[in-house]
Amino acid sequence: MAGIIVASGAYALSPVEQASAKRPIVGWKNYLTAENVTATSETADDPASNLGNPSTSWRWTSASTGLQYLTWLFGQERELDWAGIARHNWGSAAIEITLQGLPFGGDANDDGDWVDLIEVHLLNDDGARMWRFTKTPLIGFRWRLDPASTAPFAAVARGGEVTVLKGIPPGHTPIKFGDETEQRDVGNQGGDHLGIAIISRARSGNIVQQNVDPDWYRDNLEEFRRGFRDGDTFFFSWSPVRFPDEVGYCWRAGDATPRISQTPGHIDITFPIKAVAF
Amino acid sequence: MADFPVTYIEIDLPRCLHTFGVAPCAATLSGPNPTGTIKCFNTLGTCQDTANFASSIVTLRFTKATETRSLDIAALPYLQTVEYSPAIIPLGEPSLGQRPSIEAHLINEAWPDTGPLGDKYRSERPWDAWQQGSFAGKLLARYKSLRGFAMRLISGQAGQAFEDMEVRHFVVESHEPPTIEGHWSVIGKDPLKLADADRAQAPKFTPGKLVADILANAGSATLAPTGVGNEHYPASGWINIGGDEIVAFTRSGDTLTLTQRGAFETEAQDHRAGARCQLCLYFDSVDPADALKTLFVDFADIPSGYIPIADWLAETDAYWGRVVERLIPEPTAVNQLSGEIIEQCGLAGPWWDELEGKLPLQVLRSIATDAQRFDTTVNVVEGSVTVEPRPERRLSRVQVYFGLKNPLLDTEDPNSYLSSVSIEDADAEELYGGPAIKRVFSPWIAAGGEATALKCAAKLLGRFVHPPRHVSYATYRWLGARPTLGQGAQLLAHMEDASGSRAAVPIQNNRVSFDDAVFMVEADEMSFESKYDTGGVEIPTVTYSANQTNRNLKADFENLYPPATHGDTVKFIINTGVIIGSNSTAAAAMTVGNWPTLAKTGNRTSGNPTLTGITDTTGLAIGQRVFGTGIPAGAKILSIVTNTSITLDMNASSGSSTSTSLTIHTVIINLALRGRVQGKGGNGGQGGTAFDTNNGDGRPGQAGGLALYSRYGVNIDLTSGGQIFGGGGGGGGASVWFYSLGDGGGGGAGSVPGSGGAIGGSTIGEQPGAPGTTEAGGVGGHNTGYGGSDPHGGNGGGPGIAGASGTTFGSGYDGGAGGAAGGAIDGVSYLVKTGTGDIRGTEIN
Repeated sequence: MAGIIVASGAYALSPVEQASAKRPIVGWKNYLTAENVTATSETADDPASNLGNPSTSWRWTSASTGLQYLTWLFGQERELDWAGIARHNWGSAAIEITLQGLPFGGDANDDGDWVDLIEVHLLNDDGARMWRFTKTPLIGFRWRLDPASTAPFAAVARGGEVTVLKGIPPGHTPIKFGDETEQRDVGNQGGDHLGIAIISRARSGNIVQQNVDPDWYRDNLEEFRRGFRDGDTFFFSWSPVRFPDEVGYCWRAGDATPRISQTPGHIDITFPIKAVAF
Repeated sequence: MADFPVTYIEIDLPRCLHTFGVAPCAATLSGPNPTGTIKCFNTLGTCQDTANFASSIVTLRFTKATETRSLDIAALPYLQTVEYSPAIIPLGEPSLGQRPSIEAHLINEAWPDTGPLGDKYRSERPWDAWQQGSFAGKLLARYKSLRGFAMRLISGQAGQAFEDMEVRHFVVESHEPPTIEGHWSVIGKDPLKLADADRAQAPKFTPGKLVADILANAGSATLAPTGVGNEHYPASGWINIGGDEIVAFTRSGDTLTLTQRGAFETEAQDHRAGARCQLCLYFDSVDPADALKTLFVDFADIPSGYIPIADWLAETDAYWGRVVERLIPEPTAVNQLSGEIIEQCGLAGPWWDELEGKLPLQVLRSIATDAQRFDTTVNVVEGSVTVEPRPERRLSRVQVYFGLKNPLLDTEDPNSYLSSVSIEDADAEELYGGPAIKRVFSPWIAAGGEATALKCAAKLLGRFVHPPRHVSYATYRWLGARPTLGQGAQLLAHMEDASGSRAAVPIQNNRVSFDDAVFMVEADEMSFESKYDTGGVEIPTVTYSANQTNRNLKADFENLYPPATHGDTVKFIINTGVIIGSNSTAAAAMTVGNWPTLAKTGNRTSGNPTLTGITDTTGLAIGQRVFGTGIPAGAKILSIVTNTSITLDMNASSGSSTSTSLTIHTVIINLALRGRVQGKGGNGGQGGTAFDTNNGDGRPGQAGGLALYSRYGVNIDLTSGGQIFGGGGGGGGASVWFYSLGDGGGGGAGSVPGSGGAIGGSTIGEQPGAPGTTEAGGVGGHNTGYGGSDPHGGNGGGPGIAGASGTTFGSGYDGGAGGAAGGAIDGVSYLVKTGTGDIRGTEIN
């Protein structure tokens, strides 16, 4: 693995987009579906089509420990600038990862036609992950996976056009740290501590947007809100450059209702979320 | 560091290995006879060729959607909660207790039809599996029912190896279908649920009926409908005809040969066509553990793998040491029958050990003082201890009715039983302010089982003479001692002894529940009163407490106990006032029977009690009787040098280091004869019946019957005035005389006395003989019409005495000879008597 960068996130943005690289992002527009995915290898019980449904319960599992690809062919040109996975083993399995795209006119069967969107790298853990790259029109997208010795698996894969938020106000809890724990501690009559049982733990938090421009809200956020309202899942990275591994694969925990802020016409909105962060 | 509990539910489901339409699967969607309109889902519920369904087990695993779970363990995070209702063990009560159950509450989600239970033909279906239907909806539609499938509750901690986690085994009882809100559940029970009254009976119902009327003496019968014999009846056994008579049979096709009518003390009688012929279930001297296993496995379909029968038998052998005996004439709920055995044999359980997937069984007994301690200052959760007095459970008198007169009688009616025993604890009544009485009706303890009935009573009284308190406590689940169901333990809490010290209360856990943090235990105090804790090692005893006839000691013993083996000592008691008699002069009132023996070779020397050169003394014990040439009658083993020699309590009468074949009676039989063994009295002879040379003589009286027959060593204790009486001979009939025919002879004395002889005919006042009694012979008949000078029948003999001859006319006509006296003992050399008692009749070998 000489020369491989161990990175918790990787970005290959154009200069224009680098200006917004530090801002929080939501990945909800998705072109990676169950219908257009193929895998070099899959088990009978865990086919690659499972990557296209929103459940983290059903996953794709490869039967191979060799070089392999997870490939989506769109059948038309799509613009992509992000991709994400959740519930995977790509970090702990030390899989060399390359994100590649197939430009219009390329032959999916010809490796030479695929271009690197993110160069080969490793992940430092198995947490939910987002990659952001320069928006590129593509007819296909794939992860090139080269495992060390363990076959890869993943439950959710998404990719499409990212929504860049306006910023996160103070008081935000990164979803990775949004512990919601149920516990019970037990002692005896003598006051001794016998033990503490952590009954359950989950991730919860909020995405808060304050005082956002009404036009921007309507052009960029309202469509996301409607999907949120209906239970669409999404990826969220609150600080993509500085804390690229603090990503959540999220779903609604309640209603997000836009409210007019103190600035006339501007909008405050809070999205209560639950998430898988590991 | 905290503990991170994780919970899994597993359900094993069968799934077909074959592919639709590929041989051997003959299902097809095309051709003239399609088997369906869509392909199956490889489940029996959707199979279109069930004959070729090839089952393999696929395990569904669910867990809670908590981040603290181990993601390395594949499981569907659909589990919301698990409701666990633990078993309650009945400790000495006539019940299988409360069945444990779990209810796994699950959420229903969309399902892409992948995974181990996924749709094998998913890519061919004209629908999007993710968009259509739900997990539970599709699963339940494909399986129809989950009942009977294995279900497991698995608990552990995140990071723990899955195979190291705690597994509790159940069987799916039912499921609740998904609600519109997306909830569904699966309910599991333990396998003992299969013994419930609504699903298990013993014996099983048999539908055969009599084709035609049969008489009380009929030797055969035919079953209807045609073919029912081969389908429902074994080659031999017992049937209950019409609820009126038990009959032994052998069978060929639908034809029964009735080999014994009026069996089990029922009355042989006529039966009408159409009378039902219910096959009976007969437990013939069976260990209670084996009886329970038979009920569970053969009649409730509980898998035999759940029953550790070797452990059960070791437990009952060590702490109960009795067998049960019963013929069950009608289909009866298995849980009722097993509950009766549990109570009447002093058992705790069997109960379902979810952790081992087995059914343990215990005999009630004391809790060891060094048993696991649960202490509120050490390992018991603060505030968890409660103590509840249960005065209503106290007993001071236990009455056990046993020896069911016949199996068709009501087992809950005391009049149905031959015998009863009672134990009373006067001290307890004074201590607790009055009597508390329990009656137990035991159809499982055979007649003669007084010792067994007393043991049953003692088990119950020992358990409940001090009203057991009901306690509850909790322990931390993930560290320290783990309470288990059925466990005996000592609880130290706020209970005090007389000195005011904290008392260690012996308890037996009969309910163990848990949540993610603690075990919650309910237990009964188990302060078994030690004077009633007799264990299983006392000498097995058969007691005759009511008059009976023609007893075989060995058969009676084995109705109550496992067969005796080398080195055993057994005891028989005939209570004062009880007569063991005989119904036939041809059969002894009491036969000792064939008990185990060992053949050895040793060297004897005249005047020396030691037999040398015995290289194998296995099975020998002090007190056993020894027989052989030159060995005096009554000789017993006094001492043993292992694998070298034995020394008797008598000197050899001949030999000089002479090799001798020895027969050693290796079971020591002690008979305490406080009542009487008495043969049958002979019948009196009939008087002469005609005035001719062929018929003018009086008929001879019948010989009396034998009292005791033995070809096995018995130590017989007569010190309490025991009696052994041969049957009296019947008196001879009188000859004819002038114008009168003969008078009858008197009947001999006997347990069943001889009947008086009949008159030869009625002309001028002829008199029959009087029947005997148990104490005296009957007086011979005497026609007094001629002033007393005519011949008369001989008097019947008293116990052990011959009958008198009838008198004669003296002119060619003779009186009948008196019947010989029945012997008192045949096999006297096998007996060693203590005390003289009262023996009437001959003693021979």
